[in-house]
Amino acid sequence: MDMAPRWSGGYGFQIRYESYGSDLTVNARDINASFFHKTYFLEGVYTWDRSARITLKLPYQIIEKSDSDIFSKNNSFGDLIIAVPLKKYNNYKSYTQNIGVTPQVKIPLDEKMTNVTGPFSGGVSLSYSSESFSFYQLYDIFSWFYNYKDPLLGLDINLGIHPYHDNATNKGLFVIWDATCRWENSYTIIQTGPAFMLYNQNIMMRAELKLPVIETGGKNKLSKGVYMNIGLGFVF
Amino acid sequence: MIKNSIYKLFLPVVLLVFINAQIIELNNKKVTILKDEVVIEVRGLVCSFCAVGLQGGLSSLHNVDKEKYNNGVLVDIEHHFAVIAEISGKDINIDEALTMITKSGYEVFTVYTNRSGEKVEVRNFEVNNN
Repeated sequence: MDMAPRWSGGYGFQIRYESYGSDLTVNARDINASFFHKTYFLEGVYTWDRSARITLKLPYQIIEKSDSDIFSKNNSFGDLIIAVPLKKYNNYKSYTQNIGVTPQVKIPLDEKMTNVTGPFSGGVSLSYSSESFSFYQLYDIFSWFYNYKDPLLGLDINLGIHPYHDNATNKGLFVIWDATCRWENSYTIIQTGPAFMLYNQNIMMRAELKLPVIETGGKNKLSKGVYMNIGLGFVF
Repeated sequence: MIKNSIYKLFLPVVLLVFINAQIIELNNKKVTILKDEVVIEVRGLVCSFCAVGLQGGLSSLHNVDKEKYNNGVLVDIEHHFAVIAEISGKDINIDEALTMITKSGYEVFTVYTNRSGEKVEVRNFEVNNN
């Protein structure tokens, strides 16, 4: 699932929309301020062979902020993310698994973001995933290092079942439970919720919704609120 | 009742003889191999989205009968095998099929053919993960 395209010379792209934000603090207080972040992503992937691929993410973000009735809206390109997932696969009779190391860089395309995070950010992730016909699991620990900002540490866990698949048409459905933890400076968030992935031949649609179950930070820190993500991808 | 049982028991056998088919058991599934078909057991073939790449690669081989299945190839991810339909009287190149499966990110475990229509030929392969 996170493995496609795993064939040599395979490529794909995805359009994705994500949003989060809230007008309440992490302690659910109303301080007459809000922060809403909506992003449209154009993502691409190319696979040399199953052990090496490159991915690109180009975000276009809309940030709406208000503080004491002063409202601002900013539309801009976010940081271009280039990653090189390197995977070691093992195929068994009834399941496949891989461990992966992914070095990645963020290149700010907008001057305002360069001033916040610095001219260049680097990250790395370590992952393990396995998939059988009926079960899927992914564990991914990742970190980002910035020039002007504290580093971020994160953990993603996906546990999924495969309730429907039709061999004749290669259509089906995955249902996944997704949990994400992030730690940066004095801020911690754990979000969790369901994700649904529908596929039909080479077309995939994923929709997910996550709620913050633990969120701590400064007393005036605004909550990230409900996280929503929907994407449509194609592989060739 | 007796007539019904006769049909149930003997009709499939008669049909199999007529169309030169053989039956094998593969990962707890009975699979019928027609004379112009190749069945390949593939290790780790469980990922539905990845099956698209395998299917596309195998479809591109010479002498695949694209009128059958999905462009000539049926991928069963529940029982981990692929069926390739050949054009009648023309064989696919098995070695090319194996290369294509490796390029698709998998390893071949066993190849079953029924070239004569009377007997299943079996080839087993060593698996090298990388």
